[in-house]
Amino acid sequence: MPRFPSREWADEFCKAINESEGYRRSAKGWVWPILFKVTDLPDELRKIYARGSPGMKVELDNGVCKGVEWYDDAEGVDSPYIISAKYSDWLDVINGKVHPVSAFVRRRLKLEKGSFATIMRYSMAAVELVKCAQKVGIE
Amino acid sequence: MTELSLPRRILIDEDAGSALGTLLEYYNINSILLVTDKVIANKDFFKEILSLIDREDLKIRIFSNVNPEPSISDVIEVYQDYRDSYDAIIAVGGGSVIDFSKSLSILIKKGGEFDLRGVAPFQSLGIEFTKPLLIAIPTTCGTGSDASYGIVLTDTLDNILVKLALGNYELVPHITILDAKLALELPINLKIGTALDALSHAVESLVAIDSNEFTRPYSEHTIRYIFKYLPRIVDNPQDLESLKKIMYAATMAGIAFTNAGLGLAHAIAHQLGAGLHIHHGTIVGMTLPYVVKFNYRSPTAREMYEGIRKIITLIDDIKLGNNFYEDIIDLYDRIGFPNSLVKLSREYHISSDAINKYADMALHDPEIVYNPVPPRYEDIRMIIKALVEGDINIIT
Repeated sequence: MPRFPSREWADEFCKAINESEGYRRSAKGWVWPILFKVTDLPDELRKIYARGSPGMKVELDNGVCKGVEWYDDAEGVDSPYIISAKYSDWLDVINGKVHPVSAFVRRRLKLEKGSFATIMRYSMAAVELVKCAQKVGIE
Repeated sequence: MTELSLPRRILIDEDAGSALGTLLEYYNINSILLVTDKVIANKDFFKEILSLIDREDLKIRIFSNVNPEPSISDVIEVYQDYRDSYDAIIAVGGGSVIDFSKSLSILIKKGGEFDLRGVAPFQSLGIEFTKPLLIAIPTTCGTGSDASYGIVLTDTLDNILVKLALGNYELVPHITILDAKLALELPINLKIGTALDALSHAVESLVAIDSNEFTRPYSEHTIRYIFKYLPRIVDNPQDLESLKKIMYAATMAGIAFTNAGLGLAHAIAHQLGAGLHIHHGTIVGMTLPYVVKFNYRSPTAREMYEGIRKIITLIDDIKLGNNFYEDIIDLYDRIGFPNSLVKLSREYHISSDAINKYADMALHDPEIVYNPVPPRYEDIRMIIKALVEGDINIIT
């Protein structure tokens, strides 16, 4: 199982998205890349990503992952949608301890850039994305 | 982390006009915008409210033309004519009037460029502590909008009329005044329809993903009140004591769903209601038992449903059947409410293509994610088919 977060994890995540019928159906019409940023890393990960907050830009298009770009430091990287959260909060979401929508409501996931109006229409797709992340798993 | 947002004050069993007059003086409110609809504006009680709050130094503007199920463009149009500085906006009416007032208050506070479609619970609107205060006086017994963060507005998306379910905690009205006398003249079909809206809020919030120790008592109390008092109102529509309980239930359910979320019945009902032009309470109430049966797949939801059934049986001494979805259908039979679209009207026997379209739209409704069982597209199609035909056995 690849380490989270890492380039390998991001690649596996993209594969899992493309295997998900649920995501394909619920994300019909979503055509924007999302940059997922991880902040407040624990010490062991800070040794690996010393420069800052790592992130992955996932190229999502109508229920398909067309590719993923990895950044050891995603600060300053632009994308139509940017979602950031502390490492511990990502873990809670991916492990299913916190529902992704609750995490947004409770301000544990932050939409740094993008349209709330559009996100609202794709909340089920967000749930499906988390399921894909759960398939990849976390060490 | 669990939060509970609710109105700062709920005035219960009050005479609305006197209570409002006292409040306006207490808060030193000198300019108000009263929002209502044509029907309410012609009621004697509305005129009485106006006469009771009237004082020399109070500037009053009235907008009395809220459309049923208002649209985003309605709000923007009225904002152009009514944008001004007010100390308070007072919404007197049902869900449409209160939702419209919430939406108008956003534009008045943030300016006409603000996109109402982007109102979501994830962000700070930055308007919580700014005037105008929002005061809600409900005149129906179901929407719970007087205590909720929600707004439902219609919009046109890709040439299709849709209902947008929006919400933000800063939109919970500051004050709500509950005066059941205002709902006495409501036609019986609307009393039933709005009460079933409250029941749907309560049943969905009971098992929604953000349901918690603080929200469940409101959900449970609402369900108990609807099971106990709605049949009494059907027997005697002028039963004020029962009407009070239903109105309280509606407000309690508003608190519950604001903080716990709703679910699949609302996600489906928003689409069918907009597409087939069916009153919201009617269509969501009708959808409810089918979604409850679907949600029996979740052990947690099942436990909640069985828990409330025990309370209704043991404390309220009401005889129930084998499971919660049958209990709801039995309640509908008792009050003469149809449990299928076809029973409502033959014209609602919608095609397989239409079912597919509504299922796809429901999949994009924000309420869907709060459902305890995440539904697949095929599940939603199955539920709509069962609802059309009135055959709960279709749900597996």
